[in-house]
Amino acid sequence: MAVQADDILLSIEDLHTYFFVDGNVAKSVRGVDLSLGRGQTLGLVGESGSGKSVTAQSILRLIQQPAGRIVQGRIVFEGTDLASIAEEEMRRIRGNSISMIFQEPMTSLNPVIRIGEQIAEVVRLHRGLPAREALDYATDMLAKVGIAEPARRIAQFPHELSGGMRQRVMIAIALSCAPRMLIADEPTTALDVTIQAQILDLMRSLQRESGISILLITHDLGVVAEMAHRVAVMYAGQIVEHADVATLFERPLHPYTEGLLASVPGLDRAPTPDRMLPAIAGTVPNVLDLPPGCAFQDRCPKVHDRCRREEPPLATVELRHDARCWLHVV
Amino acid sequence: MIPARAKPSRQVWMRFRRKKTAVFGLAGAAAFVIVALFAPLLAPYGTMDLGTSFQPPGGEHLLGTDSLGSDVLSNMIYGTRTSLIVGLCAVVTSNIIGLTIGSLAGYFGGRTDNVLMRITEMFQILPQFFLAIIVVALFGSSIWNIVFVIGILTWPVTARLLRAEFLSLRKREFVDAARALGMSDFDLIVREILPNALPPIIVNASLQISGAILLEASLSFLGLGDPDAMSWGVMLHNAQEYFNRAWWMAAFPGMALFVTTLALNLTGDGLNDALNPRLRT
Repeated sequence: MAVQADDILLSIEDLHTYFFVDGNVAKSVRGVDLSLGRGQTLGLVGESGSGKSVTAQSILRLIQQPAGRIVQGRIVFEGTDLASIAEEEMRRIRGNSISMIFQEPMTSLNPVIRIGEQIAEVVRLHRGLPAREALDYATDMLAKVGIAEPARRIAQFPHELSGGMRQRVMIAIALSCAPRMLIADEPTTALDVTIQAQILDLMRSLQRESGISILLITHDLGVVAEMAHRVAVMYAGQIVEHADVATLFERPLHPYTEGLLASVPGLDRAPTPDRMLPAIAGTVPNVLDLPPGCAFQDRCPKVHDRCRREEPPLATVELRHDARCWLHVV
Repeated sequence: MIPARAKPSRQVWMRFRRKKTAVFGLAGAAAFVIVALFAPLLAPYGTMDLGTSFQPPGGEHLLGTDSLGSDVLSNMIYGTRTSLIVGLCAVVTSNIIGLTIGSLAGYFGGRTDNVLMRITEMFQILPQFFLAIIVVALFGSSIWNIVFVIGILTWPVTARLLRAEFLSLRKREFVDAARALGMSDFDLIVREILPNALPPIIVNASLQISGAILLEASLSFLGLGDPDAMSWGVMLHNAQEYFNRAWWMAAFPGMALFVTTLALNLTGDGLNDALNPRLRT
């Protein structure tokens, strides 16, 4: 299913987000291009420090101030460049047109405010509903995300709920104003596997109902395989591979993606004491001091001279499949 | 053991109740408020009903009469009103300033914090009693001047407490989550962070009330009190000359002052134990 230009909800063009700390510049995001179609899920994959969370925070302009700044690029959402609008306009978009759910359901809810009120305050803020109606609406939202006895739950405090339930509440809050886009930053990482499956199911069924677009940030390739339509792999602040999910898993082009896929245990190749799971050697380069050429050169099994001299471009290798590697530049 | 599922307010009350001194303090504080509210009903005489001077305690005047012949017990009962008004109004004034400065400094941090905290320190180094005397001497000794002075002198403690709470709370994930929902800085400060920062402020306020009452009494004792308002400090002031003849003129208001501040401090201490998460068992 090819995405037409007018079906694009969000497109990020040449985004650079840097952090200026003590006279040093940490280039966390270095020229990211992404687009998210309506009703689609885009998986953004990478290890810690790859810049995937900073990319997401840049969209909502929630980068840590005053150190972090979007220094270049456009983030076009429904025809508006989010990188250049006033803070006040940005506030009207947050939680209203674009919502975000966080990794830690245990700490993302306000501990001293009742569940119902936490949903109701967002609806009052963006929709101007009167208090009573907002609370009724909150009850409906809780039922919608599969929480039993919503009328009782709205009067409870976060510490009275389990982790899975709290993440459902977070989703209810995020979706309460019917946003067009949801940013999910490692939404299931803190949950155990069975709860994780339930939350992913819930997100999928809500997407089917509402046609919301999801930007799913994760380091879990299993989650991506289950949820995403397209996948972008990030490394050291850049996208190194971008493809449909099936294509990426079948024919990874970038050596980093190959390494990532190889390091996931499969049933047919379960690790044993004498057959270790292959890992990618080395660590992510320091974004304060990147080498010239390809950022992956020191960890790459297929590195050659050109990689150390010149930075490879993100090239379209086949239809809807881009990679940033000299091996695939024709 | 306190059931974890009980309502937070109920949990606080259950922890508070475990300590006998705290309950005693709260009872004393409640009695103080009731006496102040119903003073005209409780006082056997008016403050201007003058009879025989220097009658010792007992008989018609339970706690004796003063140098003008007015009833010591009645004066004390009316005096609770002055103490309560000064105590509450001073704490409200102090907290309005302290909460504003403290939350702004702690929330925004950086340069804002630096400037606001230096201002706070300037107020902290003011010699308290000296400033109080100057203001009262310059602007006259009305209750409201005293309230103003106490408010101006005590807000730095509130500001510093709140700033410290805000500095740690603003980094919490639920604040990021609320910001991602479109809340403004004002919403974040008032609706999201402040309710989480209140416990130490509440404890401090209960201690501030007793401090304000003592400061009002001290000023009045030096003759700088409001001449139109009966207060324990004024009574002590009037009693100075007659220590040898009429001990009751000083003893009973002094005792009232002692018991009231003790009760308020015990309440504050109990609240501290009940609200402080670090002391929870």
